Amino acid sequence: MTQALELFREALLIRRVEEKLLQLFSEGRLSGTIHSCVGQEFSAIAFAGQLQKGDFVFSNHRCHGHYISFLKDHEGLIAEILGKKTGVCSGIGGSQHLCGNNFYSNGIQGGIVPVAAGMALAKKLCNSNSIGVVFIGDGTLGQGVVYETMNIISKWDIPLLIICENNYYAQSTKSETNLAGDIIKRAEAFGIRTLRSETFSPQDLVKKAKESIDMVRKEKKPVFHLVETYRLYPHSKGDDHRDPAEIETFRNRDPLYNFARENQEAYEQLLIEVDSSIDVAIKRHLSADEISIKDYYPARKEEAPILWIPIESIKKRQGELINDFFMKSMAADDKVIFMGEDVLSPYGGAFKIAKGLSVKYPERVFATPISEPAITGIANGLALAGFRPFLEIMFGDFVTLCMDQIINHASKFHHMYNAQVSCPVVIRTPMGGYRGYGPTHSQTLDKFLIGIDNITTLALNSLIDPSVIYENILESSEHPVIVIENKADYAKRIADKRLPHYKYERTKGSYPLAKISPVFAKPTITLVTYGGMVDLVLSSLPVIFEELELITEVYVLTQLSPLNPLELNIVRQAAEKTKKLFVVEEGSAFAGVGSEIITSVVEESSQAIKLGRVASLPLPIPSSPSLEKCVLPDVGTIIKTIKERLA
Amino acid sequence: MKLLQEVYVPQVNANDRSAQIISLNFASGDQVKKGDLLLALEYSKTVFSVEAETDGYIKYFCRPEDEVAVNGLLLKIYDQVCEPEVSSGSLPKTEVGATIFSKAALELIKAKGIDKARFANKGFVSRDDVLGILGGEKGVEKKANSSSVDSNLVETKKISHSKKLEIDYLSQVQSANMNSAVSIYLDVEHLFKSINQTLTLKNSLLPLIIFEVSRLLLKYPEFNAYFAGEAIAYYKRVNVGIALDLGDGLKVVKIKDTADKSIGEIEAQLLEAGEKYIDKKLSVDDLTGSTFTITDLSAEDITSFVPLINQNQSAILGVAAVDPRLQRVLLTLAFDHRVTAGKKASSFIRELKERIKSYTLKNLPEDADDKFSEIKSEKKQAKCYLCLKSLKEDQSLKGPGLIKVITHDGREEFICRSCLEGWR
Repeated sequence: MTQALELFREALLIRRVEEKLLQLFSEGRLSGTIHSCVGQEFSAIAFAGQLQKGDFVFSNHRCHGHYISFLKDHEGLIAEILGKKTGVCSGIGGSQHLCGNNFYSNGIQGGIVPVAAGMALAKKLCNSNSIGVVFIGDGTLGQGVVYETMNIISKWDIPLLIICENNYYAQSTKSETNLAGDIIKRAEAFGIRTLRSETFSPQDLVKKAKESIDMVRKEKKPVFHLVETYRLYPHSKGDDHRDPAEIETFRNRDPLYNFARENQEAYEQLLIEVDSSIDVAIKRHLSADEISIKDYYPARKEEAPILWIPIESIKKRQGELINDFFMKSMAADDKVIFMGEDVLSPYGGAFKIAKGLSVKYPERVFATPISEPAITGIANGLALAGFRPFLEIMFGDFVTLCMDQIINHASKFHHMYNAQVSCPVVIRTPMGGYRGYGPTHSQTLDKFLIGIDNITTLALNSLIDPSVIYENILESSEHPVIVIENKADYAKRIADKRLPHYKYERTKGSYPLAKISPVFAKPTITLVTYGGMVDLVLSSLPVIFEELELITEVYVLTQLSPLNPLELNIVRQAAEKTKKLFVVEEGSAFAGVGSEIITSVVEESSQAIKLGRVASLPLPIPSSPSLEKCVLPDVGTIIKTIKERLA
Repeated sequence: MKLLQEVYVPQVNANDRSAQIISLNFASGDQVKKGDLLLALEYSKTVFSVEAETDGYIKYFCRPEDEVAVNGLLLKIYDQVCEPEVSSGSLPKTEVGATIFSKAALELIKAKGIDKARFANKGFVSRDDVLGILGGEKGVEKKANSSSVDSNLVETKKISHSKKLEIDYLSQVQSANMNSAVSIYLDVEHLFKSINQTLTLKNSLLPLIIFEVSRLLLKYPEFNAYFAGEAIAYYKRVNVGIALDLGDGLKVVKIKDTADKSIGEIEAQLLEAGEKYIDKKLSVDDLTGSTFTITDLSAEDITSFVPLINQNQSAILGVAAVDPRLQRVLLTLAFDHRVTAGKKASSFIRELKERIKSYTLKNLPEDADDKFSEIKSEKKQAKCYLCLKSLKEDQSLKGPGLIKVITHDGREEFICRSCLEGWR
């Protein structure tokens, strides 16, 4: 078979797979939607089809062609879209979420671009000759994260080829409605080399694609390749309002149509060959089983039993101890990466956690632009590629900018790709007020970071050595971890000041639970707290006794999400004895961490326990010192809440 | 470096919440051998020494004269010489600081002109604690009535509603003190004669009482239990504690599993406990875990007394001195009214009396299959060495039996009561 014929055979295979899938859908034998790339097939063949072993591809919602061209596995794709166990992601991902052998796709517009950049950066850090390819559409150009990433890949010389398939429509909206200026110029503005071709001239496209791929590989620099194309079928189905005459015009330019017209016999031959291989695949997989819930959601591992040990004081500040951890772990493990804004020495980050790191490990400390979505995505990509990135988000309030990467990417990768990958990214960010930083630099937003699938959310506190926690993350976590630090705690020494009459203990586990309990008396009230609230709560204990004659025991959680059932059990047993359970948190109470702790404890208990939440008022944290005091919890708030709830 | 042993301050009784270090017998870093005495601790009523359980290198976490709270770390033994710890500065220690008074307590103290020093080392002082001091013995310590429950040791059963009402009703009057007591006289005439012949301890009812009490506790489990707030915790084993004071302070020594032991075995353990007391070798295990207590003041020539119930127990039996003229002894059972009631306590003590009385020689059954049966067959042939009255004859004359004596020339002989008393 000639090279040209092979090109058409592959394009026909992609087209016929999609046509068959659409047919199965209309027959009610396929659940969910698909986005067809009929008309755009040659772009897939030209780029994904010409890569080398070790290269990787990130694609989007319109990914079937890219998948078939890159992996030559139309069968795995068909089974996946049919929702079968035999599919490439066992039917969990479906049409838009494919993963296998260096191929990844996700259904969020733009989010894959920084992830691809992170993985390409990993290739570069390993001195590999491999490159990355990411496919976007003209509609994706509306996403800011694309430009954040273009800026970074250009600045950091990351070997990533961005292919923008311009089919002139974002779903049903014409590009010209929403797209200002010129696409090519957007990439050029970042100093990225650009190329342009079209699917209507396949031979030229293949040649230019090879040129782009070679350029990225050879020069270790990014390239932006614009491919003009046209989608002959609707975006999804039943949503096509384009002018039929326009579609007809493009159909007449479609190389595959023209090939069929001009080489009828060869085309028929190819069609029989392609169709029979598709039919065999469909037949084989249509009757296959779907994955069971047991396989998708296996029983939880047994938690290690709880062992109590005394809390030891450490004469070092929390911030220094975190810095020590990075100094030590970066020396011991060359996969550890530190990223964040302003983290280069001598400045070393807004809270000096990165102090000295960039001097000792310049190649693994990345001072990023102010682009939280992109840097989170890059960290995700590094983690997928086997690195251990620690990303610092300068203020906890900024973490909302990272949410798409946290929720739709880091969190979902493992399960949606049927456990084929893990993404052990670590995001560290300081929260907490009492410093007059005002509404966007003071808030504790932990409530938005709990209950996310596959993500462990921790809060450091002033009682536990942070290096113990970070070492455990590095050693044991295969999945994303978010660590909430506290600005005010950075300067504190560990378990420095101790209350008389109380003993301080913690569990020996990875993310310790601390217990501060009276030595000479039985507690009559149980408090649970975490993070920056610990010292406030401890300072309130003598006052709680003076005012309310209640003897307090305090449990301090490190792991906020998911809550550890064994720890909850301890808290429940304690609360059943005192009959009073109060939670103290720095965020506002509604739908907060405290609500979750209380519910989780109480739903396991058959006893009547008085409950209460001590929290901030539901307002942005004001800058004015006196007003800030009113909004954030203090000893008075704790006393008042307990008094009111027990009245 | 491997940790081989760590020692925390043990809780040896209900009252002491800390202990003072008397002496450290080594220096940190020294090599110690299994069995070495490592340090001595003083509680309010006892001195306790810690032994090495293994060979190794010691590291102390306390200094002489330190007051260390219960559960505070005392020492660790490692398999290698231990470096001084680098990272941690101060040792983790539980501080015993100034007493914290609630505002309400302070007001009352001021109003009543009480000396605050009376609350030293109390930790937390509430209004109730001050009222306790005002009201006499109640208060400060006694509040902790709803004890914690370890399900390995006990089984709990919920208290019935009517019993709860009774508790509430009584407690309003009695404050924390919900104890009551019943007493009964036990005739000991003829009793010692049989006991003394078989046991090493002469003129002591204690082994027999422990033996019978243990069996009765199986029948009356509420006396082998304690009040645990919402429930009664019933011990799964019977460990009778004996209150001993042999000159070095009162200690309650546990005799383990007394319901499964013979009188002889019980006596042997009792003697061992006495020796350990005198040699100051009582371990924490010896001093903790008893489920019922017997206090014997028979040596003190006491006619009657009401003993106090120990923590996590529901009853205590007091044994007074034998009245030499009336040949009787007063047994007093003090009990926690929240766990049981007077009628049960009466049955318990009455049955105890009957059981003990059954040991008088003449009451021994023909074929008793315990230690007494051997004695009996041997003694059946016995005769008074002066009047040659046989045991059988003595019995038919309703006499008490024969007594073993050592004659002036050193022989062991039997004598009848008449000859002994000179009524011959």
